[in-house]
Amino acid sequence: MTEPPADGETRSFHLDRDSRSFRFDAGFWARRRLARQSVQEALTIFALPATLQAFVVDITKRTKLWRSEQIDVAKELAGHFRDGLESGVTPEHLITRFGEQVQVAKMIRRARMRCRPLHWQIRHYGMLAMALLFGVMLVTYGVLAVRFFTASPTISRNYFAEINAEAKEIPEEDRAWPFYREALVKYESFPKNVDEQWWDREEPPADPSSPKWQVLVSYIEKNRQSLTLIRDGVKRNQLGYVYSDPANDHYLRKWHGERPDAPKNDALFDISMPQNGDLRALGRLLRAEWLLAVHHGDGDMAAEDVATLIRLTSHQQSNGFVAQEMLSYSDFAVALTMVSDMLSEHPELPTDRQLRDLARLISRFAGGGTLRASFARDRQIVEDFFQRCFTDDGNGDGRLTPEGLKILDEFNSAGPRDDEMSMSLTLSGPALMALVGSRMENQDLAMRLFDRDIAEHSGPMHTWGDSSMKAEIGRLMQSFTTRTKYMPALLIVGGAGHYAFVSEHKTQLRDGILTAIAVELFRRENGRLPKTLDELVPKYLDEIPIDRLDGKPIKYAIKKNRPVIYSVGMDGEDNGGKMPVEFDDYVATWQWKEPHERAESNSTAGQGYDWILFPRYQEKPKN
Amino acid sequence: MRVERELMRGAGPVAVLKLLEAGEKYGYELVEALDQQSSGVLAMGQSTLYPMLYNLEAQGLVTATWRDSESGRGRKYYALTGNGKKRLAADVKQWKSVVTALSALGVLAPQQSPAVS
Repeated sequence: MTEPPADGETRSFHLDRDSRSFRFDAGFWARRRLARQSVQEALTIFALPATLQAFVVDITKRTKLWRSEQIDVAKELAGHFRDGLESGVTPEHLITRFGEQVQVAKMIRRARMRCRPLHWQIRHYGMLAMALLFGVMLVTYGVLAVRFFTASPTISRNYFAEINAEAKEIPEEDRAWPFYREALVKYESFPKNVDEQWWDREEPPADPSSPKWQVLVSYIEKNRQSLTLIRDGVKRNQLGYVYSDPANDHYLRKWHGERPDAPKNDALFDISMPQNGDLRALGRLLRAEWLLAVHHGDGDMAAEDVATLIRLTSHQQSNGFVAQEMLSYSDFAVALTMVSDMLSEHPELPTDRQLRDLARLISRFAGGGTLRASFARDRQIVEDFFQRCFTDDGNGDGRLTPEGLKILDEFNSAGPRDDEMSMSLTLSGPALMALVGSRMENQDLAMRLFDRDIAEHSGPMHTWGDSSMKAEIGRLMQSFTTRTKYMPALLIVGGAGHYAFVSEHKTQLRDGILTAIAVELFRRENGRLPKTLDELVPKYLDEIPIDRLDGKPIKYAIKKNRPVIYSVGMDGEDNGGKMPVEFDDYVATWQWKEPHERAESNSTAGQGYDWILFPRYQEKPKN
Repeated sequence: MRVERELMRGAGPVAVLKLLEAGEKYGYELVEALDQQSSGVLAMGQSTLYPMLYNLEAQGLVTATWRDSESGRGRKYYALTGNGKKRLAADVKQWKSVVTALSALGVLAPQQSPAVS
């Protein structure tokens, strides 16, 4: 459509619908300028009767087109009616034949808008589409927001309260904690300028000629009462630590300030177990006393300190959390090194009976057999996590809640946050709820991965392969969709493999020390070392423990007329009990690496050496 | 006889294009021609014609040009474009097929064929 160009019009390029290309349109801006002219003015030339002119003006106004378009339409309709009048048709008849204004105006508007330049149409329909999209998104977000912000978890089971109830049910006379608590209240630590664990870090253990030795002596003297209380405590069957017990207030204030010992909102995953860390301090006190006992040649005291430490650390496992079990295993390993050091450096100290008693105690630690975490409480942590993050539809399923999002945020940032969730996180909650999988999907995945990892690490280390749990987590993390869908499961699920490795490590150390005790008892009775471990069975050992890295019997060698008990180590080769010299080599002999990690590693650390279980590895003194 | 709206929606544009094949025409001229040449069968409401013309223009099948009439006032004339001619040829072919098919079915007697065919 072109109009006669006006004088001095501005010419413009714009997209032409006909050719679907840029075209030089001389009329575009001229038409826009025409907009300044009124419809009435444009119609004067047609000299229409008032009724027809009003009819035309009414229709054109109703079209709500650009003014220039209205004038164009008005002129055409006016021309139409002028032609009709000149044909002899009356104005009334023309109006009747033409049709109803509102409907006509609508149809004209729609058709004329299709004639507008392509760039306008792109912009117009683009904006319409955007508005529509925004509207759809807004409505969708609104629906999701209502679902999200009205969602709240149902705490159907208070696992923490159950744990505390179990502790409360333990008879007072069977509880060790009141003794330990008193020992901790009376406990006097090392001077602040002296590292409390210096004797553990110096090799060989604490030199009596060291200036710090007097500090150690003083430390023991000041803690005599605590040591007596510890010995009373280990005689009890169970720990019996009760959270939020007013009786603990004094102890907690001394050791932890005003921080409460109970987890926030009873959430099991927030449980801090302050007592476990503190019991380790008592364990260090026993080891310090053992050092003095060994120095003074007091075999009775030394053996008792070891036994007390083993009993004390058994109480660490009171609630059955894997973290407690690992702490317990760790202190158990300290007790094993004490036995090892006695056998290698002061074999005359313990009596036969004390050695047999220690062997019995060691072999029965944590139920004996292969040490393994039960994970029973840790399953409850997972269940509690999901019941606090999701709603409950009564069938074990549900959707993410605002409280759950806050928990996920805390997990993701690896620590509790006292402040409110950020506005951006709150606003993204509804969308996250839509993207995150359901409670059942996440809980099932977490439990399945957990169970599979436990099953894959149930045997001795030599039977382990690459963790399929890690592989599946890696696969899920690669895609944004699955990473988001299973975010709760991926945040809560922990590999059982690491704990299984720690358990295997302690099991092998334990078996090495039990074998060393048997060798020492054999030597005392026979005046010589056994040629092979077979000589120990069945009198000194029920059976020869296995080497957990090759599945065969634990290894034994005699070097410089002293026994060496060892495993083949991570390289899987029997090097005759060759002790590593460098610390890196030593660690590499026992540190678990998955088959693919070993294959991909260029490190030769630990190769050519064995994992020496007895005597214990001692790092060469640094210059 | 007036045809149903739906049928008119298909027949109207092809009738207008056919009328423009003979040469450019203005709105009232088209209204009169449709009425007379189709014996009133395709006499569409006049309000329908202009939106239809604008649609044909938007599709690039016709062009509109303002020119002065003999009386001195401006008139908007519509003419077929190249695309309009192609569309007309295609539409005529399709209508013929429809008519043939309807005839074969006995729906149409030869004398009932529409005037635009």
